[in-house]
Amino acid sequence: MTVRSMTVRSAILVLLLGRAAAAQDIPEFHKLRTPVSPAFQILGIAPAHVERPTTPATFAASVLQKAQDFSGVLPKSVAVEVAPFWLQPHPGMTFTEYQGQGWKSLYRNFTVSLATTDSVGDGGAPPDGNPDWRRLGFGMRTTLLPGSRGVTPTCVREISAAATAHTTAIGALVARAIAAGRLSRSNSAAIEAFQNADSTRAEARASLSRWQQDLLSPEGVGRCTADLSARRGAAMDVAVAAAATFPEGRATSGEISSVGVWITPAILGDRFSNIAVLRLAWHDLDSTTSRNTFDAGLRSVYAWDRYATSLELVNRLERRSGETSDFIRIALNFDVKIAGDTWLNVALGKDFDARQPQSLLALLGFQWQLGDRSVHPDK
Amino acid sequence: MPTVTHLYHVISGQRVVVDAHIGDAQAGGHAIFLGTELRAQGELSLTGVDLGAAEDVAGQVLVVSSTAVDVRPETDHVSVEVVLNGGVPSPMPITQAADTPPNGTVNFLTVVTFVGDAQ
Repeated sequence: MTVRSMTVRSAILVLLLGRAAAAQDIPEFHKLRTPVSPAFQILGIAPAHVERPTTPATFAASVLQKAQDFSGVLPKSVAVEVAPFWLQPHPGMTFTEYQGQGWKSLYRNFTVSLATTDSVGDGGAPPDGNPDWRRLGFGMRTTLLPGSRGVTPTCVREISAAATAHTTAIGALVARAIAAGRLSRSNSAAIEAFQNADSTRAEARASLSRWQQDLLSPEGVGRCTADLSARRGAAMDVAVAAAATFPEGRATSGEISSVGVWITPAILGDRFSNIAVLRLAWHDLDSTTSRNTFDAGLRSVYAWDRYATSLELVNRLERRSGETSDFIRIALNFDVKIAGDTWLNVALGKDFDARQPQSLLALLGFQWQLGDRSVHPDK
Repeated sequence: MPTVTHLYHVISGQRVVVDAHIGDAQAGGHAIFLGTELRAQGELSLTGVDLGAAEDVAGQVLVVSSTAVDVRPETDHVSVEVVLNGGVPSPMPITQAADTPPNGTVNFLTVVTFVGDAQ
């Protein structure tokens, strides 16, 4: 996600080309992938706060809260994402077993997202300023091919080794206290208090090297989490979503307005990756001007050291009022790491445009963005 | 930092064996003490740790200390499963689970007192 961003559009190319470039954004490159939360994508929203209940209790509390808030009109800013498999703990599932999950990723990575909004998307106001006008999005996503994540990545081995050293120190203190009669072997509350005592924690921490302490810090573990998110090899995600419009905000008066399907097969490597996308969408189904689109595209990414570049090509077939149009979008993206987590992103391309198909120069744009790296092999 | 204590009846003539696993596909490690003696330590999963004959371990205290680390982007659940063999019942799984803030660590203690036939 972009932390700090500064965008200067068109300006440089306006100067270079000596003409008024179209003042439009180059679409976000990350959209050439299966959306993480398809319900948000189909509504065209990016909620600032998303509820992600991780236990049945928090899920039930979330549902009850929504039910209490429901006063005949759908709430206007719900954003919930649930991974049903992870609502329950799985004490018998080891790291190694999960890494080689194969087809089981189908249900383990299954997520459901739900959102409501009172905007038409991208912050637009509802029609006629109707305060009860609502849209609701519902989506599902899963992984058909999980790719290869390695049996036990290096960072997991290192963190586990540090955890072993840490737990050995705690275990030794507890075992000695029990043997010396300072702790009762059957008093779990006393043993728990002993292991939670500051002195025990400090002694256990002191048994670790500075490097191991860093590995076990939230920042150190977070780096490993990021590594684990990166997949390699053959991977494929799929998502479906639907949006409905509720002109009066009542649950009984809705009409399906949009439906979308995303499929993204990919071959992911450490440096070079190829990601394809198949995207079907039906828009404005609740109006007389409905249209549908079929996108087929490919994105190639090459990343090395402080640099990354990608080339994206998407062909769109759009059918509207019995007529079919054919468009191309092409984009080149280049990232350079400046310092820390700050990246300079440069994007150059041509977007789909129903009015001016294949008009590359007229739609040239330039985007300069300071923020997180935008080119990721698997995103 | 959860803790459980148990009594485990071991059967004469049997070997007492313990396994320990970090659950929820998380990272972590274990240390297994019989009395104050460190009998095994290792990462992620320890299997088939032979503590000795039932007659020899009866009356002793087993301390399994496990630290689970939340490395999974999918969940913040962490858990540990300790499985005892060589007594009644066999196997006897003992599980503990907790939720941690993202990328947190949790230490679990499983303290087992072995009880022999005659005790």
